[in-house]
Amino acid sequence: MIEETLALFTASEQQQIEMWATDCKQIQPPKGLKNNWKTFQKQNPSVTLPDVERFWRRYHLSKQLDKMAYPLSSKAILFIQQQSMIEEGESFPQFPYLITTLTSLIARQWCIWGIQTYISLFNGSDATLNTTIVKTLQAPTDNQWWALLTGGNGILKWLSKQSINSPDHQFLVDTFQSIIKQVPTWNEANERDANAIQNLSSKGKVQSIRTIQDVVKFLLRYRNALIHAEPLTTQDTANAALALECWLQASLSLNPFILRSKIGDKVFELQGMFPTTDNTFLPQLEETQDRDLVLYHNDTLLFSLSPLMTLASNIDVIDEAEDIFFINKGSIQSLKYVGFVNGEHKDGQTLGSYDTFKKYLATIPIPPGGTDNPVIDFRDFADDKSKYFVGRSAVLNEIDQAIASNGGKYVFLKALAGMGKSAIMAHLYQTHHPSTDEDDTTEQESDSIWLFHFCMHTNGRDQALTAYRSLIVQLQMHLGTYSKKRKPSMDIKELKEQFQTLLNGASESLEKLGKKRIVVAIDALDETSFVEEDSIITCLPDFIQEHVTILCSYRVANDGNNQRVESRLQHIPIDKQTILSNANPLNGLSKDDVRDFLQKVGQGALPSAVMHDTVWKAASKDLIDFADPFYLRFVADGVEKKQYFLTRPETIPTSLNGAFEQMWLALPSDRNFLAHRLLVTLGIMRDLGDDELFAELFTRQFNEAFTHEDIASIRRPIGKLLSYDGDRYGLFHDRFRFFLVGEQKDPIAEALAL
Amino acid sequence: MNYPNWTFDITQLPPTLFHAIEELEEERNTNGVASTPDETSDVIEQLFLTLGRLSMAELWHATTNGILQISDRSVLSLLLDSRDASLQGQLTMGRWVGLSRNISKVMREHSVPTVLNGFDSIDWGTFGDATNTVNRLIDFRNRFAHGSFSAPEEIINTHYHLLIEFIHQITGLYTQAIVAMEPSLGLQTAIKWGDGAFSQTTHTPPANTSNTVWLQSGSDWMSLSPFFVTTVTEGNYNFELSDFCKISVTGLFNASILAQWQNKYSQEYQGNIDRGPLIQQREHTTPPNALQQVLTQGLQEHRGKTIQVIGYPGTGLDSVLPFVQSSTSTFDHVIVWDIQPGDLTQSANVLLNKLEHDLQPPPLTQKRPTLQDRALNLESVFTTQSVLLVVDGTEFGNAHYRYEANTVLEVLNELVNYSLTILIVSHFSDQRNQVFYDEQIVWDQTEIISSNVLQSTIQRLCTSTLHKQIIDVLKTQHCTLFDLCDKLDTITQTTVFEPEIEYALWHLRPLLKTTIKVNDDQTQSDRVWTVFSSEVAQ
Repeated sequence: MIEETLALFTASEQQQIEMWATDCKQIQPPKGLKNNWKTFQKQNPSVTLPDVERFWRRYHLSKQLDKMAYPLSSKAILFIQQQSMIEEGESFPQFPYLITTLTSLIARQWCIWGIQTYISLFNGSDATLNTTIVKTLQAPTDNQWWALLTGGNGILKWLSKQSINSPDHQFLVDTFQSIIKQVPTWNEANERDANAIQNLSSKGKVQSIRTIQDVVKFLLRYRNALIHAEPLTTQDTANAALALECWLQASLSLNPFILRSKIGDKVFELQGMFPTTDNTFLPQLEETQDRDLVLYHNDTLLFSLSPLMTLASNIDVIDEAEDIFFINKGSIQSLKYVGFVNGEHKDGQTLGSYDTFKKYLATIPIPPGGTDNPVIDFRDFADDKSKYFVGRSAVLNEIDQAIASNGGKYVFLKALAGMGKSAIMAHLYQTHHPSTDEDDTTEQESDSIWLFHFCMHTNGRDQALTAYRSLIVQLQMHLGTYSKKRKPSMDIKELKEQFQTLLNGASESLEKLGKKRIVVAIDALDETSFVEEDSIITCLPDFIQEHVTILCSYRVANDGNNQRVESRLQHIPIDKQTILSNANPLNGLSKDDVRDFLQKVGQGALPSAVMHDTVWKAASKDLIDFADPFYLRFVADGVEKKQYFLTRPETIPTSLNGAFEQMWLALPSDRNFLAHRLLVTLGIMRDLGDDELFAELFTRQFNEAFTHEDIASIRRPIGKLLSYDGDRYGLFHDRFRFFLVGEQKDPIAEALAL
Repeated sequence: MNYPNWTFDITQLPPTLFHAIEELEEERNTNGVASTPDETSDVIEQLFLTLGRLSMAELWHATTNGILQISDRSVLSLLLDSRDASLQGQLTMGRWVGLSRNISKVMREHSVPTVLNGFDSIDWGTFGDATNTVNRLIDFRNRFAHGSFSAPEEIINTHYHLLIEFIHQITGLYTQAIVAMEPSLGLQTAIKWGDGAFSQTTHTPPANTSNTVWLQSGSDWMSLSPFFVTTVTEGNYNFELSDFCKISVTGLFNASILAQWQNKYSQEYQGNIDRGPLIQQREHTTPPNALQQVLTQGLQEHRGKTIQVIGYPGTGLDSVLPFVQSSTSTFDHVIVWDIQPGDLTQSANVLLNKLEHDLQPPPLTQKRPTLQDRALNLESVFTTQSVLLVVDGTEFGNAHYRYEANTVLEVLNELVNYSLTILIVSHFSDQRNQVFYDEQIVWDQTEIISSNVLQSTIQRLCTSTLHKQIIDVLKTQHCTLFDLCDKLDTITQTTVFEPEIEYALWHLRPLLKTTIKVNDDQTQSDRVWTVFSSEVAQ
């Protein structure tokens, strides 16, 4: 497109266009170019020129991209090349992952530059900012990197309030600010609006994309959709590619910032596709360690990026297999890097940067407990569990009544496996939606304060310590008594005491807040750890005041009991226990619920009577009078994947086993059944896994190098069988685990003969 | 000008390639290696564009001379690939390399030597193999074909030498003459390219109006038309790579044998296709009485619906198509469709074309009608005339025919919503070949009456040692998946991976019988497998 368009202009016009493009800060099309466009179109109405914004964006990138800092430059060049080849008709199945890799790379690279600006100029003088930085370094996601740089409490905001003496540092900060506020170079009508490129607010409202900051938000949403295996079309990817192109072009104004690194007596300039040598700066870099990455503004040395960015090994032998590593997870306990050429993961010890990192962390002093956030965010979990939630009005009404009339009591919801107890609790979570943001003090509209915990064998959520610390902080935040400086104890006995005292002593505060009661909802008591003496169950208060109701759910066997759970509930007086009559145990769904469910899955279309009957028959095969919610989940998944059709009853599996078989056989069998292996491995694991873990595991198992991108692409087609916690995932349900690997005993409980 | 790095005389190379190398060398000498990534990239591009056309010329040569048979499925597929490529006009480098790679593979499989010396020594590698020379060169070209990016000298030089080495092995490129004789351009006597210029030659290629550019091979000739053309500008002749946008399909298939094939193919593609005579040649053309009865009854009772008849191979189902075709019908139109792999009957478009050809619905109003548009348009015929569509070979109906957007099964699954009667004959299979139907007739007889059909199904499905081992175990016993895995563990002396065995079982499903066994206390059920007939194992 570029060459054909340029060829339409005279030699002198072409020369002028080339001149304009030598300015990396010329993000918007120059006025002169726009005039050229107008004149040309007037003189040649039969020739259609591409939009001037599109032409300029691409032309500017083609002229400036190899002056960008490495390794961003090389990935960006690869991206532009693949994008052009896709437009020519080639296909690159990994292209969506390249978009996310590049998005991630820019977010990290910029944020690291921002952190180092702050550290080098202000020596980590702000404890709050230090806490945010260290928390981000512990387990950074792209969203967190970006929020740390540009968020309300982020680095740029902080730096903008300071007086910066160094003009070069100031220029860096100003450039960041200006890029973020920059209007993307695209034709708003033909590129943005015609392709419906827009953001969505957390409440689902459409938000127009006006600045690069909005573009980044759009890209991060695309990244999450890809990683969480949401359905994405070719158009979604094309839109993300366009957004990324705009971000890259706006980033060209950072081109005067150059990375240099000294190795022995050579200085490498890290720009473009390949590093080049330039020893002019050797005297300046003599003080730095070999392989330190040092940022320059033209000829002025700003700061070193090590250990947040580090070179893998030598780059003096030019080899594309060499890599620059970015910090992927960094704490005193663990230091992990991810490489951006090959996506390989390495630990700090391998890279020889661990000691440097320890020293580095010491330069960012934080108050004790500053990075500790005890409140667990269950939003992903609840979203997943309550998708297509239907019916249950009897149980929900009974819960409402029990809460209103059974103050000072425990209310129990009992259910057989897969009957939907967690879906009900997740539905309550979403209805009462507690804020997980420590700074968010928005009042709930309900007359009750709701606290939630979902027990599960992951991330210590089956442990009393984790659960009660979370519940206590949730309560303190609601009551307005939470202080970041006074974190809850790490001693379970103290926590048990504190929780009971806080709950029972909250009546006055409730009155002040205009609330009537506190509801503590704890899901899946059967999934607590039974190893410790003080479990989540045994730590439940034996006495609660009238203004408190504790709602607990747990799984029971066919006889309606769970000996393991119930034997530990004996400290609660029997007259203080109420079992929901509609959930003793919880039944499956009614035939009407199945119709509503099918309507939801069919995006509002009412199912035919035959379809309704077919699904009802199959879903109620085992439960006779009720439909199995677990079977329905498979139906929903099959419909989403276009394996089942709600207009064709013959496509609906006739039983749960049939559904499972079909799903299992529909999984991709490539790479030696890797998708199946991943699921089976998750089946026997006690904790969540992530792409990094499986890349390492399969690399060891098959003697073949797997990157986290390989795993992500294998995982995408099986996304609905997984439930996510951020980027980590596990099997979506225990009954699915049973299908895969049968009954798996808890190894610790087994060892202790429990 | 001297070209000391080149180990052969580059002036003998085809002119387009020679000129690209000339430019590269001039830039290297004038501005240094560092400024030549784009020129090096241009030479790579010219090289593979030339080799792509030479590959097609080799294929044409082998096919028109009967060395390769058009009826061979792989050859047919290559010809169709070439046809598709020519229709596309602007071919990407990736497509050129892919085409050359596939042509080379088929020629090797059929032990056909190339006319261009050294051409068959190229290792075209596989897509994504980063160590393969072709891939390395293409990768380098791709880096510099989309933007003005710089590279260090080492990288440029490495690929420069790789390029020299690569061309060096194709000796024919610089030792075999390209000769042209084109009276329409005033070329009454032959000229040849060599020493960087054109000159008269006494070696004259065969007289031919459509083939004007030739490659000499001893006393033999290989036509390079229509892939290379002779041009004349201000009295100067040149050989150029032809612009595919300007070649018609007739021009592409210029040899009579190819032209004939192309004509027939084109007519059939438009819907003028009749595989009836082939269907009547089947081993059995009359189904067993019981099957006849259920079919007749089914067609009477479910007129306007879709009926699936499902059963085991060799038990009489293969006679349904010839039977319906030759029976006196109460339908206004009976269309039989036997889906065969690699054949036009596997094309969703051709099936729709056939329906439109035979039923003559009103012309479509859409410029680019979708499957849904075309099905809806046919409904006007379905409502006024009774139409019976009988389809066999659905196991091949789920594959896309040559990059088509839809499969035959998708067409059937769309037509099921309309008022024609469809009779679909299928074998038991897994759900991946999902066929929609309103009624299902299960023909679960296991007596074999067409051994040939059973044998060909076995041959098609039992493609690996594992498949054979599974059949071997199941021929004498009923097994659950886990029983079978245990037995295979012993046979193979390794631990088999259950999903792999499960996939294999479902792959072999047409040959296997399966039931669900519920345990005594009704708490657990297992699927049990065995062969459907003892003849499967034989």
